[in-house]
Amino acid sequence: MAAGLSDLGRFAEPSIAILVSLSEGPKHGYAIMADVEATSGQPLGPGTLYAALGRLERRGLIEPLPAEDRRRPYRLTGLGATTLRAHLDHLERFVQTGLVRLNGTAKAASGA
Amino acid sequence: MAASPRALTILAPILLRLYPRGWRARYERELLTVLEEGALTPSATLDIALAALDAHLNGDYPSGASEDRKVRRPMLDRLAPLAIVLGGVFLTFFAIAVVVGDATSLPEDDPVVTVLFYVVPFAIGLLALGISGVSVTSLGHDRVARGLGLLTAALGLGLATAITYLFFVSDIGWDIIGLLIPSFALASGLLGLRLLANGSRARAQGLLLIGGLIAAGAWVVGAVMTANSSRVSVADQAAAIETLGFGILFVAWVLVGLLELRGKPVVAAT
Repeated sequence: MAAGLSDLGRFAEPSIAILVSLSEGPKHGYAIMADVEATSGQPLGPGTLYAALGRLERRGLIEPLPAEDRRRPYRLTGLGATTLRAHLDHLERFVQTGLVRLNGTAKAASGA
Repeated sequence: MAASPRALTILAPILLRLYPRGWRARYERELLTVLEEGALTPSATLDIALAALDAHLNGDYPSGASEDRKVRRPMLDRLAPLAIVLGGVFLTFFAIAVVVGDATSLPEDDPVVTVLFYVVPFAIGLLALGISGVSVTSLGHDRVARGLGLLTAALGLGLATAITYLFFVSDIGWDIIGLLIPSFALASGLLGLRLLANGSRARAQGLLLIGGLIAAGAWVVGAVMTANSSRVSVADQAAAIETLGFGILFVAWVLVGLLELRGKPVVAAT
């Protein structure tokens, strides 16, 4: 896992989903929850959301913007974008490796 | 299934009260807004309760305004110094009482005296180190320090339970405790060594917990002397060495606790 996300424990996956959501632009809490559920298919609880937001903010990966009414939007920082890119690149290499191996196995099985 | 407005009015404030004050100062209004937008479902209620527990144990959220800094430290972190001081004072008193006084003259048949001189000091002292171990475990980002903190906590809490149980229920358990005590001291010593290698804040605690290693050494010396001699005088010396070893460890706990109370965190900041 990329540096900056390795010590998030069980909040690592929700944190990545939040970073991906914010990579589109600033969002407030409820909009992040809705976007994460729509893109990943996994619901994000409000407790988990704010536990992850706190961790990401403390590590400088996201930052709060001035509150609009009672909603406070968050946005990705430069460090957050770099960290997310590194993590997604790592995942992409992992996925590619998996697909290549899976395709190789399938060809071998059809050739046998 | 979202909660009704009435349920939201009743339940949301209760849920938010579960969080530490520092957390609430920073996020309460935002989370309440999210809940009002329809996020308060039964599973969300459980999710919030678990997240509130996490906030107490880990305190991994940004500090808000300056007045929030004092209350941002999690509950365990605030409890640890008090527990360490109390436990250290009790056990230091016990160690001195055994060395200076004649422990064998204590009226051990009197259950009140027995509890006062043996069970209460040990239970409080071991619980103190257990709590400090949990504190290190929950807050440290260093995996080895967290592991050693967990070990110290487990031994401290386990030993406190075992002593309390065995003292009242059984008269044959002291051999088991004899094995656990040096293990416990060794764990705190190893934790001290690890903390010495960490940042400057952790070094003070590391230095003090090295007393754990000294205590373990003194305990082993005393135990060997007791086992190899049938002479009472040597056994008495052995008992004194054992007690001295524990005295060092207990004084170390008191000093760690006092440093914590003076606002120089050595337990939490690993």
